Amino acid sequence: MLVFPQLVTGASALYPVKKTSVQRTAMNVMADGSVWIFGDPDGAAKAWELHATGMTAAEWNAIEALYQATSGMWQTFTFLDPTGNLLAQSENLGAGAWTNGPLIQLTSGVADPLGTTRATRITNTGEAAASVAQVLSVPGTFEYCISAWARAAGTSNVTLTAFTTGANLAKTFALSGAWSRIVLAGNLGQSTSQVTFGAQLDSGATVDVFGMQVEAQLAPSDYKQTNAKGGVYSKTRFGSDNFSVTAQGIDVYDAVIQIVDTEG
Amino acid sequence: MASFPQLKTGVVAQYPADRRRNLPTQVIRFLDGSEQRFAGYGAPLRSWTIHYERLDESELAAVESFFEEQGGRAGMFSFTDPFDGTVYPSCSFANDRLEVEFAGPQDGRMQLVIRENRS
Repeated sequence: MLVFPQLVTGASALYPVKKTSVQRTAMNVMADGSVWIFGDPDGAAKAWELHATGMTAAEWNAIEALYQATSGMWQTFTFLDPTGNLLAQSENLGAGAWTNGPLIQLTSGVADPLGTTRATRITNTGEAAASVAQVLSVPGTFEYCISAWARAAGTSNVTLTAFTTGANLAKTFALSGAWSRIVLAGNLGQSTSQVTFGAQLDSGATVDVFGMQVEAQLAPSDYKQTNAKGGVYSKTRFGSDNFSVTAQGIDVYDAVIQIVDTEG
Repeated sequence: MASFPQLKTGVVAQYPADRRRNLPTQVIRFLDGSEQRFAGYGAPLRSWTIHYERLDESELAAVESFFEEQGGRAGMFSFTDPFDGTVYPSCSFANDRLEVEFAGPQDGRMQLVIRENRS
């Protein structure tokens, strides 16, 4: 699995990051000034410009090794959007992107901590613990952070989990009636290509959850709502065959790296 | 119909904000220096240039997601004129390209142009 590497600090990118969303449309302007525009969803593309300053030699070598493995712009690699939420359908926990326990019941339209009604009430009606979870095609060697807002009417707990073949992370949170943002961060340290992230409820537990988010970094950032597409881009390419680095000093390297996604 | 998303503060624009009116007057000039002018069509169409600075990532993501849901110029949505509060029910993005800059923590920046459609 070819993946754009993380920095050794566990950060996925440095500021500033520029991100461009490009859509393709065909436009006809009529004589009366009205306009007919037709969209072409298959023509959409995304691009990132990463300003990586102060990299160590190890960090730069990892990026350069990926560049050589993909032969520059030729072949694809997986890129985890450093500005995005890796989960898809972050507010539609019943969507196909989620692999929930069979006896999990979901109620949408619950009041959330942002003052809207986009939270979901999760009830585990089964006799054993069950999860609301999503499997992501991401490497098991990265630092990850899963976060969500949660509350419970009674004394229910919720456990955030991240697991892959050979390792798992879990942390249980005792909830109150007030919203709190709960966070699990860590590195599974396994050379795998899929990680499952989720929220696990004990038998009979009822918990309100909002804003589930997974990021490839050490701590959570602002919550980003996602729809059908999360922040995992499995067919990105380098945006240029020209690849240069500036050595500012011993073990201090600067580079601007362009990455494009044209295949969704 | 969808509505252009508001920032967390409830507004849709920050300073500086630009509003334009566009009328397509046709001008034909003759060799003797005279000219004829024709009004292309009736009411002028408005457009707004929105500059955003110091947005947090949630606000940036909301606008970016909205842009993608609209398919760039292809979609139509209602937009509230930040100058006078008038709601224009049929507006579109003027470009198929949206650039977002994450300059630092809580310092997201973007610029976009919204135009009124002739209904």
